[in-house]
Amino acid sequence: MIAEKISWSSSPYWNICLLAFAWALTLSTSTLLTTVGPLSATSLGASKSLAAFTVGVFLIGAALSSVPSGWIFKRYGRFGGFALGCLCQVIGSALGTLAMFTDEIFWLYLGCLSIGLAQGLGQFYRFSAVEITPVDFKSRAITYVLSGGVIAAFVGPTVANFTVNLVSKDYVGTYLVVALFAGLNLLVICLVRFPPAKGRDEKQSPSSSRSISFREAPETRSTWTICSQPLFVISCTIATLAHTIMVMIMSNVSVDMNHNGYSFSNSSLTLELHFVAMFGPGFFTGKLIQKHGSFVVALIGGLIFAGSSVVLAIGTELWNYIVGMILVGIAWNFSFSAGTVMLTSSYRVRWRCCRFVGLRDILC
Amino acid sequence: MFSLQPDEATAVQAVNDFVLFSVAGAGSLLSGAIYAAYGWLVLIYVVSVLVSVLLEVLLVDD
Repeated sequence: MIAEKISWSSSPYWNICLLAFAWALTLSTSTLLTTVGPLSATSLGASKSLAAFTVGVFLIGAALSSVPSGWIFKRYGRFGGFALGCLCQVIGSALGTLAMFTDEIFWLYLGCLSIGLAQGLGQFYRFSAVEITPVDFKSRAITYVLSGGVIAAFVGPTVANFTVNLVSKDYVGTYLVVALFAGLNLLVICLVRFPPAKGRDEKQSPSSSRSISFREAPETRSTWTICSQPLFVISCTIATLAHTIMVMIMSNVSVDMNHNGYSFSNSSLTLELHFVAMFGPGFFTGKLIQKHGSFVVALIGGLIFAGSSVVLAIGTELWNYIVGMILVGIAWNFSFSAGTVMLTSSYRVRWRCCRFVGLRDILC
Repeated sequence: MFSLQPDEATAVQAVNDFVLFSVAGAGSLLSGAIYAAYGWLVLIYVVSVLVSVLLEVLLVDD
């Protein structure tokens, strides 16, 4: 049932590459904003506590748009949803620029929120890349999408470095690049041939039947039934704790390095290595989980988190920050990936699907 | 064995994403306040408490 030819896609490679590129741009926006957000807030006179708010409101934006995202994509199709995301990102970029020119930090937070809304919708590029891929190319599609994270690890901080002083007003260049990324994403989605939007009454869409294979016609449980299972609660707790621990350190590290006299290039290098450590292991974490199980890998992640706390606590030399943040990145990858793979087993689907869903979430 | 419709997988994923991004966002806001009030070291200590909660969840569940 999954091997049928896909008539709407003449060249799967073309579509995979385009969507992997869009996903890399989405993640690059995230790494770019994480690199400059807190420091740009500081330059507008924000206190240390308010500086990290830029990353906070960005994440809240992603949380907010994750709620209606399923509905938006169902109602307006992939193209409509992604285009809306691009629009939010352009608005966010404009608000960030406005904040820099007017010295009004309120616009900066609103801009970060808007870029966060775009990020929530942009999460679906990675689902979409695998969704439109014929079965034979799936593993390749996953690899391409995974590499998006590594690309973003370099692109965000590097672009930040080059654009921070590009325009006479600091950080304006960077916020304009955020709009450029949105523009490129819009160009990409204009080129991709998405599957036709689903009708509401269709039991199973053609695209989903290709991407996920089901054992038999399912009897369905409510979302609440699934989400109140202990396994869902535990897996969600693990992924959420892993992400929160990582974000709490990452939101403040650039400000603290700045406070201790390190240059912007030092802090962006630290973040760059941190992002590489976050996404790089994704190529083998899936295999590690398959071999040793989710709990073992999550536990190793937790222990590496503990190690990173020691390294970050014992000093403020450059190596403390760099090694500490690399460990935070690896620990996040292990425990976050393991948590999301566990999540997939809270809604028991066939192994093929589990593996795919698990892998797709390693990227997030 | 139970199977799930794609729409339901999306709904469960959405619940997970919402919890995840909300808590992480709140953590990020809180971390800024802790850092500003008590400094980097205290922030690392607070994070270490969360790390021990994570380890405990894993070990207890095991």
